[in-house]
Amino acid sequence: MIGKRIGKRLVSMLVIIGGVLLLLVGSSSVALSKKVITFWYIEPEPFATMIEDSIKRFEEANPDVDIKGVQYPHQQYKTKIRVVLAAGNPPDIWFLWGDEGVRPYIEAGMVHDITDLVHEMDAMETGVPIYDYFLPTAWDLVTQKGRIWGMPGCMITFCVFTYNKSLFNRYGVTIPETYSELKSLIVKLQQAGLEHPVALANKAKWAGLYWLAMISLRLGGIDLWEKVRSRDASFTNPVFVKTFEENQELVRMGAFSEGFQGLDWDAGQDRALMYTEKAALALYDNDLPDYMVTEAGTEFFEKVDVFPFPRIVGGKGDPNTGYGTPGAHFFHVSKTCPYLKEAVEFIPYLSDRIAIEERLRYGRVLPVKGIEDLLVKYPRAANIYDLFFGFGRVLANLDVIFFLPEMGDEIMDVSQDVLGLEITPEEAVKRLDEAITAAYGPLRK
Amino acid sequence: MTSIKRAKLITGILFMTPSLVIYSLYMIIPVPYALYLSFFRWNGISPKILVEISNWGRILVDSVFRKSLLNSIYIGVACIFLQVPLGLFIALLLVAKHLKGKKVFQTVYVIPLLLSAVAVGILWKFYLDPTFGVVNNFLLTVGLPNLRRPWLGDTSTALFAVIVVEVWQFAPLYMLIFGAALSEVPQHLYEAAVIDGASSLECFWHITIPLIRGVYITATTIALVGSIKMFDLVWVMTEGGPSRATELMATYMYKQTFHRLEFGYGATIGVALFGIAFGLGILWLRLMKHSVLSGQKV
Repeated sequence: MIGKRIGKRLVSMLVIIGGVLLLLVGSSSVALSKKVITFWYIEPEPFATMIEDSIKRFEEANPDVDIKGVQYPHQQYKTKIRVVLAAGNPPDIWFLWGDEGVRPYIEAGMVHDITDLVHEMDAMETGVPIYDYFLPTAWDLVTQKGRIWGMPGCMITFCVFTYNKSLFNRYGVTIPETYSELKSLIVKLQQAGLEHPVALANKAKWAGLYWLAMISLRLGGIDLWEKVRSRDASFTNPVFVKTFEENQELVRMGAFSEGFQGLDWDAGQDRALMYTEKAALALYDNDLPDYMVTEAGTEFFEKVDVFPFPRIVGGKGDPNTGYGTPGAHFFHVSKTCPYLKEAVEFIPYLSDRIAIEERLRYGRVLPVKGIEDLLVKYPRAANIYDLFFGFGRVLANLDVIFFLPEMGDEIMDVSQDVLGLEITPEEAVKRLDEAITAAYGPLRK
Repeated sequence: MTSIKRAKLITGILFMTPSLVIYSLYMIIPVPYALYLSFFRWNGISPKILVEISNWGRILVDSVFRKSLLNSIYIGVACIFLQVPLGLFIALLLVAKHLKGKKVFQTVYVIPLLLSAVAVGILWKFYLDPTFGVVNNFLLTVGLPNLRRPWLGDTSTALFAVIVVEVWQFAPLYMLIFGAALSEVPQHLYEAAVIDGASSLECFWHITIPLIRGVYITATTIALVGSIKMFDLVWVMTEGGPSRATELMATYMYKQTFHRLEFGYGATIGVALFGIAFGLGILWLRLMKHSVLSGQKV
C-alpha cells in the first residue's frame, strides 16, 4: 500500500519533470525543415526596418533559409556579445568593428575564414563577386594575415561636429576654422545663454573619446598613434599630455552638458538637449543626424548639418586626417554556424541596391563600388562620401578598432577620469603607458 | 523507521530533488569552479595559463577592488539602516486599525518591488536627469534650486543616488515581510499592556520588537547579503561610474571578465565577493543574536 503511494508520487513527479523538460526542449526546435541562421545587429529605426527588408529580400531568393534577426541597443549589444563570445555560443552572424578589436576572436578560431567564398560567390544577382562589390578599403579592417574574416554591412562613419544651423545663425556664430575659434564660439554661445553648448553623454565612456582622438590627431598626427601601438613611441609624448590638458580646459569652461558623465547616449539624454535648443553642437560620428529624424522629426533634421574638426594652429598633425572607419560594423560568421555559404550569401543583402538608396536618403553611405549615380541624387550623402574619401588618412576608432579590447577599455576609463577631473594629464598618460605595455609589450629602444 | 516515516522521507527527498539539482548547478558547482579559475590567467577564448596565487596577490593591492568593496559595504549598511527600518515603519503605519484606503496604499507601495531592476534603473535615470528630470525640476519648483545636482554624473552624488533608488525599490519587500510578522503578534498583548498603562512606544519596544525579532534578523541579513552582491540596478544607472564612484564588487568583476577579458582575475573577485558576503552575513547574524534584539530581559 505504501509502495503504491510512493509509486504514484514518483510517477507524478516524473511526469512533471518530463513535462518541464519537454517544454524547454520543444520550444527551441521550431522549423526543422528550414535552415535557421541567427543574426544580431544594433542599427535602430528607421534602419532596423531596412535591415528586416534586406532579410526578406534574401529569404525570397532563398526560401529554404530563415534569418532570425535581433536588434539590440548599442550598449546592450556590447555587453551581450562579449558574454556570448566568451561562453562560446554566439549567434551565427554577429559584428564588431574590425581590426584589433576582433583580432582575439579571429586568433582563437571563433570565426570563419571567408576569403575564398567572397572571391568565388557573387553578390546577390549582380554577377559581381562579393569581394569586388565593396570598395577595396572596406576590406582592410577585416583582413588579417592576408585572409578575410568578415564582411562590411554598414556605413562609412567618421568624426564630425553636428550642429544646429538655425542656432548658429541666431547667435551669430560661424563654423570655426581653428581650435581657438571653436573655443571662442563656445564662449560666445555661453554668453548668449547656452550654459553648456556642447552636447555630450559620457556614461558609456566612448563619447568623450572623440575629444581625445581629434585633439591628439591635430596636435600630433596619425603617425604618433601608430608609433605608440607599434611601441616606437610612448604616451608620455607631450602631444598626449597637451591633449588631456585641453580636454580638462573644456570641462572647466563648462562646455559640456550638465552632468555629462552620467548621461546615457542610448537614451538620447544629450540629444534631448539639442532638440530643446539647450545645446548647439556635438562631436560624434556623421550618423548622429540620422537618430534625430526618428527622435525629433524631419523638421529638426533639416536644421542640422556637419562640419569637420578644425585644425590646431601649430599642430603637427595633418588637418585633413579623419577619425573613423570605412564600414563601421563588420559581420562575422561564427565557427558554430552550420550554414556558412548561406550566411556569406546573406550579408551582402544588407548593402544591396535598395538598401543603399534607402540609406543615402539619410546621408548614410555604404562602402559599395559604383554608387556615384545614386550619390548625385542625395547631396547630404554625397557630402559625407566626399568628406571621407577626401581625408588623407583615417585613424580607426580607439575604443573598438585600433586597439585590443582591454587597451580600448583602459583608454575609455582614462578618458572618463580625465574629463571628470579625477586625474591629472600626467597620471593619465602614465596609466595609458602601463596599459599599452601590458597589451602590446614594452617600448622599443 | 516505520514504513509511513520512510514513505514521508522518500516523498520529501523526491520533492527536494529538482531544487537541489538547480541549486547545485547554479550555486554549488560554480563557486569551486571560480576558485579554480582564480589560479589562472585566461581571456575566455585561448588556453588557460597557470599563474598560481598571483591573482590573489593582485587583488590585495588593487585600489579599485578596495573602492568597490567599500562601496558595496556602504550599500549594505544603507540597506540595513534605511531600507529595512523604512519597510518596518511603513508596515507599522499600514497596520493601524482605522486607516482609510489601506488596500490602496499597500498596492501603491508595492509597485516598485514589482518592477525589474532594469526598469527601475531606466526610470530613475530619467528622473535624475540633471536638466529634464523630475527630481531637479521639483527642487527648482519648490524653491530649492541650490540642492540640484547632476546626480548620476557627479562622483560625489552618484553612490548616494543609487542607494536612494535601491532603498526605494526594496523597502516594500520588507513592508510585506513585516506586515505579515506584525499580523502574527497577538492583539491581546497590546490590550493588556495599555490597561497596565504602557505608552505606544513602550508597547512597540517591549511587545512588537521582541516578537518580530526573528523576522527582523532575517530581514537585515537578507538586505545585507543581497545588497553586497548588487549588480543590475547599478549597471543600468551608471555602469559603475562615473570614474568608479559607484563601482561595486559585482560590476568590477563583470568588467574585468568581459571588458578586459581577464576571466581569472574576474573569478578571483567573484570568489572574494562570495567570501565577503558569506562572512559578513554570518558576522551580522552573530551580532544580532547577542544584541538588544536577542530577547534578553531589558
